[in-house]
Amino acid sequence: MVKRGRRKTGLGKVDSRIGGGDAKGTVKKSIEEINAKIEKGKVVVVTAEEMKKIVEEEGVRRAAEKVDVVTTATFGPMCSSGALLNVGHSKPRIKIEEAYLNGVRVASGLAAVDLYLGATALRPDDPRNRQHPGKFEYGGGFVIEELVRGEKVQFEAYGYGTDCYPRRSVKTSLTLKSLNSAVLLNPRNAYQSYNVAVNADPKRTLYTYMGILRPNLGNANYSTTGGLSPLFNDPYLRRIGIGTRILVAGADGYVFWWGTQHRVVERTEKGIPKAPAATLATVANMKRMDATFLRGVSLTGYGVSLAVGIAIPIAILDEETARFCAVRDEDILMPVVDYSVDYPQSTGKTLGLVDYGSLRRGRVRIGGKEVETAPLSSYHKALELAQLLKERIKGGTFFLSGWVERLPSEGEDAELKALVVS
Amino acid sequence: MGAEVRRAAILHFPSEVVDKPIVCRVIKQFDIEVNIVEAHINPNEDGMMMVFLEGEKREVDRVIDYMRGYGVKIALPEKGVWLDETKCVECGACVAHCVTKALVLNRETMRVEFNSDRCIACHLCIPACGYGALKSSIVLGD
Repeated sequence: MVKRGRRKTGLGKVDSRIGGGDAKGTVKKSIEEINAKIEKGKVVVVTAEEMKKIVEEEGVRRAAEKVDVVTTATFGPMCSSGALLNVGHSKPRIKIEEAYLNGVRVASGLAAVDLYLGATALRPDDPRNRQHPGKFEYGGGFVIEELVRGEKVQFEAYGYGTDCYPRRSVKTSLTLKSLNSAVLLNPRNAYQSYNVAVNADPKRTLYTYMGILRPNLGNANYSTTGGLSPLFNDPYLRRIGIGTRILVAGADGYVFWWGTQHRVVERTEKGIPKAPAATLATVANMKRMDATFLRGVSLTGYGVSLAVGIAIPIAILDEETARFCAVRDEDILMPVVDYSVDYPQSTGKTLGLVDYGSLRRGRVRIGGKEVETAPLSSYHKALELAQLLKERIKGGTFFLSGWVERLPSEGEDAELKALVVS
Repeated sequence: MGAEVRRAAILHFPSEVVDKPIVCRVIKQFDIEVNIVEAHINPNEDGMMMVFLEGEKREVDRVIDYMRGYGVKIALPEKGVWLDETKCVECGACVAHCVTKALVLNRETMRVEFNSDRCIACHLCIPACGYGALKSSIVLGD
């Protein structure tokens, strides 16, 4: 008999030991009650930006009584994203071993016509970094965006031929509509906190997934929407878990697991993790997405990625939830990492912490030097998404779902393991 | 009197002329203002300078011819870089690379603002944009 205890899977236990405190206070609501309010058009929904003002002016208790849902959002390049496509069966059938969409290599190795197109996939003939820094003008992220825009995409596939799948090659064009199914299945999105990237090298400019970093701490790049970001508003993952309904690029979707590299790290007094921590695995139907919130990205010298917009509702079931949603930009501390040595060599060293308020205002102090900041995430697009979700809930076209399991908060599933090279 | 102009120019000094006091002579001999935005000048290496030339249009044109006479290559962006608003996601990744602050992120609204009058088409923003929203068609003149 196989023991399938929660301890073994590492899924978070549903009790107060999990951190973030018990539900103190008198306000108690349920997801069902809030959904009934949505049905009747009586729900009170605000964005995370608006919630902070309400808590400041009226206090946590009043805010928790008054507000039912807070909408949070983020928009930025998320490399661990991709499309799970089923292209449908041809006549005669083919078992695909090798496939390309607009020349970009698609992963096979599943059943006959199931394919996975990764956001960072390139064309085999892409010059990559042969002339550094490479331009990376086209790749998986762009194909995904074009599909969602409804554009025609060239498809080419090869197989070795079997009795049941005799065809050896196929070449045609397809669109999102013509695909049997297309879901965006992202293994890691919506990082709770992330590195602020700098370059301490005295001479060399760096071309990274965190953008172009000028030498001598020329700029500090960050990628978060801070006080609007989903997991900063729910630092102990009390509300966001497996089964939470969310918006991915405008389409209804779900958190289906914890994201790869999910981990629990040291926190500030207010519960904010001091390093990259929780992550989410998300899924949604590409056929219902809006390309405004899903964009191919070329990162000079690094590669191609996909910018994904994600909006997550937080049900205000108690005062504690309201208190966490009032997180201020100044309370969010993020680690500064040198991408000339410490990141590529995985030394684990940081150059200290800076607060999101300063990052947003445009200047941070690192090692006695004033450094200009630049975001890779779009706060403006994220705010549009938070507002879109708010309108959907108010309009009765988006209902909340509570989690069915909490995300790991301890044990093996909440730790990061390195690859040991012998 | 001709019209006053303010022209952005990117000066490329081949290593053979980098030791000549060309900009100094320009300032002495011509009635214009040279506003140096950024300069990279080292002995025996190709040099680069981004400037605004301000003065009467005819005088500015004479200065450009004068410097070209020394072998300085000059790029004169007419409209500089342009921002394709259909592609821009307003992240702000470009702003740390804009030396003249033509591209700025309004930190209150968190929206990107582009003031093309300040742009000197240095092109540093173009590779910093992941969305292909910043474009230029400048060709380096002789």
